[in-house]
Amino acid sequence: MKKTLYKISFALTAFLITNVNAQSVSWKVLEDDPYDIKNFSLSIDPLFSEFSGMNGYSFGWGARAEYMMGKRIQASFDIRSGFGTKGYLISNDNTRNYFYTEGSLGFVFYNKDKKRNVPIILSQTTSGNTRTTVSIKGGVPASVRRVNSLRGGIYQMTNSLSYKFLADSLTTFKGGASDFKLKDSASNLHFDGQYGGFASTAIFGGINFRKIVQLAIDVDGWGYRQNKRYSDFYIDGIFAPVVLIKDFKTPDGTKYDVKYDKISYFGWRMGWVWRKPKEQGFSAKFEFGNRPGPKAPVKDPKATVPVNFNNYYATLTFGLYIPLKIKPVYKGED
Amino acid sequence: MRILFTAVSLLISSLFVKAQVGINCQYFPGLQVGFVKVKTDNAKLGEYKYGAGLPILMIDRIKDHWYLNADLSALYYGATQTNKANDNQIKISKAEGAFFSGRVGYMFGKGDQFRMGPNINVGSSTSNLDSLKKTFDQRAYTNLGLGVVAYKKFGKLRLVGKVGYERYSAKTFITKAHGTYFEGTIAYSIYQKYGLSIMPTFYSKKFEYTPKNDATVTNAKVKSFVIRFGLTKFF
Repeated sequence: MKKTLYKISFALTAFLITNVNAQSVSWKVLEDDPYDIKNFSLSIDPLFSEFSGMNGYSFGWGARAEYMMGKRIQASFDIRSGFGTKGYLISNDNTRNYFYTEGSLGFVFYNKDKKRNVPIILSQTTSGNTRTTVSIKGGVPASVRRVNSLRGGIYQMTNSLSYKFLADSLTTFKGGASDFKLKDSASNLHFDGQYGGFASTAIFGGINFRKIVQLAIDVDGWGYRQNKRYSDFYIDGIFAPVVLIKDFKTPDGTKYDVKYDKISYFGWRMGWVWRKPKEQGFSAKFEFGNRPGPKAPVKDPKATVPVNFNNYYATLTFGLYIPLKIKPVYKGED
Repeated sequence: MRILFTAVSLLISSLFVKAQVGINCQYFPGLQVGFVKVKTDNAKLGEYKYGAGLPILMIDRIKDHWYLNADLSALYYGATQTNKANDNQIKISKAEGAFFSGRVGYMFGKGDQFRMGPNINVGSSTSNLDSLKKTFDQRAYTNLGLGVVAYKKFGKLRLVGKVGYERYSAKTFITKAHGTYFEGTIAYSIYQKYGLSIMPTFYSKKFEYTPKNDATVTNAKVKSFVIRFGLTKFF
C-alpha cells in the first residue's frame, strides 16, 4: 500500500512539475511578423564575467553592436575590458589586464520564414518545490524566421596568465646574462612565478544561426500573451597566428623574453546571444570554448603535448541594449 | 499582403494597448559627478570629503501608475575598483548609497501629463563612516523609508521630483540613524523613444555609531550632492 501511495504521489509530482496544458482555448493573432524588427542593436554591458583556465576569472564592462544589413550581410562588434582581473596588478608591468575586442562580417545564405508552432505560456505558478505551467497545447502557429550565415572575423585579447600550469621544461626566460627555466626564475629573477601576461590575435570563422519570432496573441479568458525572441547560436573555428607571453622585466630594467616551446594555434568556440526583435531591454551573451594558447605540459617530453585544458573559458555578458532600425532593412519576399 | 497583414495587426494591437505614461531612467551603467562629505565628532576620524564614485548601476522607472527603483550603485562602484583595490591604489573608498536597495510606489493621476503618489523604500546600503580604503571593507546597514514621487510631462521634456525620509539600522554598529533625500529628474527625448536624463540628488544622513577600529560612540553627518547621467527610454 505504501509503495502504491508513493508511486501515485511521485506520478502526481512529476505531472505537476511538467507542463499542464490548457485545452480548448481560442485566440486572436495581434502580431506575427518576424521581418518587422529593429535590425541594429547597441548594447552597453555594465558587467561581464569570464572564467578561464588561463587566470581563473575576470570581470568588467563591455559594449556590443550587431547590424543586419539588408538581406545578405551581418556585422557584429564586441569589446570588453576588465576591472577585476585575477593575477593582474596595476603596479606590476609584467602582468596584463583583461581586454578583448572582436569584429566580424557574415554572409547570409538562408533568410526565410516558415510556419511553426511555438509555445505560449498562459500562466506559471510556483508553490514550494512545485512549478505549475499552463500553456496552449501543441503551441500556436507562428512565422519563424531563420537567418543563417557564414561569418568570419578577427579578435585581439590580453589577459593575465597563471604560470602554475606551464611546463618548466618548455618555459624559458631568455635575456640578461643567462637564460632560465621557469622554476629557476624565482631565485634568479625574483619572479614569484604566479602570473605573467598573455596576448593573442586570432582570426575566426564559422556559422551563425539566427531565429526570429514575433508572435503576440489575445487569448480568450487570459488576455495578451507573446512569444518574441531574436536569438543567435554560433560555432566558430579559431586560428591565432599571434600567441605571445609577455616579456618579463626585472626591477633593474633587464628584459627577459619569455618563450614557451609548444603553442596550440587552433581553437574553437560556441555561443548564444539573446535579445528582443523590436523592444528595448536587456541582452545577454554566453560563450564557451578553447582558445589558442600554450599547450599542456606532459611528463614524457617525447610524447605529444595534448590540448591544454587551461585554454578553456566561459564568458557571460549582460547589458542594456538599444535597438534601432537602420537602412538597408530586408522586409522579406512579397 | 504582408503590408495589409501588418497594418491590421497594428490596428488590432492598438486597441489593447493602454496609454503609455512615464520614463525609464536606465543608469545601467550610468555616470555621476559630485561630492560626499563626512563630518564626525571623533577626533581620530575628523572630517573628510571626497568626489563621488563615477559609475552607478540603477533603474528608476515610472510607468502608468507605478514607480519602481532598483539601485546597486555602491556595489557596482566597489566591483569596478577591484583591480585598484587589489593593488592598494585607492586613497579612500567612495562607496556611498545602495548595495542593493529598491523603491516601490503607486502614483495617482489621469491622462498622460501628471502623476503623484507615495513610495516605500527598503534595502541594504553603506556609507564610508570609517574613512576606509577598500570598498568591500565598508559595513552595510538596512535602510527603510517612505517618500513621495511626482511626475510631469512638458512636450519632449519630462520632470520627476522625489522626496523621502529613511531610517538606518545595523545591530552591530549603529545605535540610531536617519536621513532625508531630495531627487529630481530632467529627461529629454532625443531619438525615436530614447533620450538622456539628468538626476540631481541630495542626501543628508545622521548616524550615531561605533567606528570599526574605535569603541567610542561617534556622531556623524553624511551629506552628498551628486548629479547622475544616463540613458532614458520614453513611454
